[in-house]
Amino acid sequence: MAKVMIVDDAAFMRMVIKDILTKNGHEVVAEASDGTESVEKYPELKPDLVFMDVVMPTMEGTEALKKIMDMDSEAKVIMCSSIGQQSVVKEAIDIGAQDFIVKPFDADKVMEVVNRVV
Amino acid sequence: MEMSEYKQVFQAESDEHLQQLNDSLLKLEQYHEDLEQINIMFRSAHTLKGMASTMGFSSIAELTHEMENLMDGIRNKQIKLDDSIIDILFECLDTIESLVETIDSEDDVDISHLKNNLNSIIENGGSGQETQNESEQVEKETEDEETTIKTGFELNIDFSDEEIQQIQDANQNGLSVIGAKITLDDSCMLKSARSSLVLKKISEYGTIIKTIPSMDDLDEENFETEFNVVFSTENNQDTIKEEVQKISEIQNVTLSVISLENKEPSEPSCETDNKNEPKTETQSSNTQEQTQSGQDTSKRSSEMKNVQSVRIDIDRLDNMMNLVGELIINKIRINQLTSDYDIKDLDDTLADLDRLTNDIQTEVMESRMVPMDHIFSRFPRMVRDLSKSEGKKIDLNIEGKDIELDRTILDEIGDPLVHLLRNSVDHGIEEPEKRRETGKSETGHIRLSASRQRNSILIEVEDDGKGMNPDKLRETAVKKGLMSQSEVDRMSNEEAMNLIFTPGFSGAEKVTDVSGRGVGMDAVKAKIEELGGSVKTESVEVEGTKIQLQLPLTIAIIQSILAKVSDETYVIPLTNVVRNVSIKESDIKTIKGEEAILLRGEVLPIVRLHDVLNTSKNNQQQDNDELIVVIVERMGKKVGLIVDDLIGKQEVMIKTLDNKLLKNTKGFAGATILGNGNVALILDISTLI
Repeated sequence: MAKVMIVDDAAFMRMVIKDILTKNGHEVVAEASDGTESVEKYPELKPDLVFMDVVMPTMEGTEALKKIMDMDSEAKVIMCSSIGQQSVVKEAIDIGAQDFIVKPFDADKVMEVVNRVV
Repeated sequence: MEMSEYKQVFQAESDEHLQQLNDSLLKLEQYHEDLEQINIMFRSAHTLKGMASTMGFSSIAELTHEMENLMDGIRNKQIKLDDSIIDILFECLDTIESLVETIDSEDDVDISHLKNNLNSIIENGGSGQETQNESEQVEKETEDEETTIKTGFELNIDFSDEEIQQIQDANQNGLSVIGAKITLDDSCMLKSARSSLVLKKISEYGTIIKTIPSMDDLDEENFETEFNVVFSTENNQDTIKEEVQKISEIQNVTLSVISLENKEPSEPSCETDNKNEPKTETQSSNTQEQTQSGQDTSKRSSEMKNVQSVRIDIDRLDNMMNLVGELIINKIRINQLTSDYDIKDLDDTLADLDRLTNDIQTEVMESRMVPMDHIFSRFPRMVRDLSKSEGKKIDLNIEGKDIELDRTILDEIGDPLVHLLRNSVDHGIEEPEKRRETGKSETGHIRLSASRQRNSILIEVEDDGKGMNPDKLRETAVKKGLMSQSEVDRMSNEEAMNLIFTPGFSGAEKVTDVSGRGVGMDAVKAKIEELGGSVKTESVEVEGTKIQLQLPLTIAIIQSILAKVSDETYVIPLTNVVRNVSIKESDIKTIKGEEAILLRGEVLPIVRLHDVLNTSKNNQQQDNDELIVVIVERMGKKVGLIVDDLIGKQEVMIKTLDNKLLKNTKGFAGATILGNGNVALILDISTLI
């Protein structure tokens, strides 16, 4: 069982991911609606895994990823991207993202990535 | 979570984004260069796209995808924003709005012309750039003279002299050079990003010498699902293979050692690659036509809906409910004063106040309502797990998920329902073999349903299991010393069924680890009655058991009848009242030691509230021989209550008797404050019957 933080500006997407994770026995310890919030929450909660949306207001996913990696070089971050975000995702991989998933995703895909990363 | 619940959240959040998009677009219309609004629109469209594609709403996803591309183009100054584009964007928003609204309906809104319009704008702005990129790549391909090397998996790799030098150096330094063929899943969407994840992983273990196709082509996603990497490493092949396979969306990884012995004479690569030819884009003339399409953007802004949802703490709602209750008490008080002093002028105002307090009460009550699904949704999994662990086959059928109930009640009935369902699985449904013996289907059925009655909610848990035998229940009650033999003998079968609710009674002969210990049916009954509801059992041996829970819609405010017994006023909840009749003392007969009357061919037990409430009899009332009887009903069981007088119908707010002193008081469900400021007790019908 992994402790997971979900970062996405859409409550709907957070709900979808959260449902998938909790149904599969993982615990969602935090939800953040933008990058800033995720950077604030990360150090106190130290989640095993972070689902990070790419496009968000106030702080983009890659920037938040950078800040999180600075705090914890072992951080495991999975980027949630869409088709057409290839370059951002690559940037994220360079920064240190462990993996990425592409919307729309189904439970199998999410769990596959989680199982590989955790 | 159920689809419908997803849909609700999806719709609510989509509406917010559409609102945002409309606002931003209106601002953009005023000032085309407003980068902030362009960014906001890009983000909103992007978020909507992600949500819609997750839900499988392809039309919305496609439209928002095009919108996102368009906004990106505008942001990068590839597309010049003009009024015609703004009009098309408005049209898009309206279309998406109607798509979101009609999400359940089958008939699809045609979005093809909008998509074409957006497409042509994007291509007009961006096509030139792309052609340039592609011609650059063609040049790069022919740059080096190359050497072909055969690898273990029959792939001809052309190496340049420089690359051969690198391979030789690596070999001399004791490193092995490995060629890897990586195949991505067919479903992989960001192939280029995926490939860079693979390259990153490999470079953690070695140095990449060459990729096929080239790094640039990998970057541009100019490959199908397969690509090759040649790298030098000091690590074990298998370790690397394992690590690469850990990356998701990788279908296959093949590694083989490359040695220069395999070197063959170099041949110029003569593969012609047609797909790299610059595409000839047909420039669409659509942009011209669109100028006419949207003229009235000002009208749209006035039509914009503002549907938003806010999360509210349940405590807040409780508070609001309390305040509404106080408001009603005050309203009643004013009503009373008005009639006491006969102030006609206040009549109209009071009628308004009446209507308003009613409306606000309904609103607050509605806002506390949550669909049953909230708790029902976890049961299928629970029943599945339980039945599996007990080797039973059970089909759970849930009805009435959409029925709404007060949040407070809903929170409280979760555990009782779990208990009832566990009972059904545990003691109701038999093992498959046993079911076959009795001529039933191997799969047992449990039905959990919720339905709205007049002023209450009926929840039923019904199974087609072995049922209960009233005689056995009687026997158990006597054996456990809960009742005397004569007591149980007098009971009807129906009453005997209700023995299971007696504290200390457990119908199970053997205690399993899920049910049949500690909290029993008596706890279920207590909880439901605490909420102002009632429980009823029906069971036929071999055929099955049905437990019915009747629950009030809300717990705070009830409609009631005020009755006088001696000089005290008592409140009888209207949900229990069937009707009032007036009878003569002589109508009362004694049957089996209990008083009853015969009403419309029905034997109706009589309860004298004087006796029950221990109040002194009012002799005046006694004289005129006429008795007023309020007939109340509880789960199909009727009783007549003899009262002195009826005052009238009134809504009252329940104040529970939950302080230490009064907590265990039987017979009263609570108290209320009347319009004249007096306190009246609310009769708890279930303990009177």
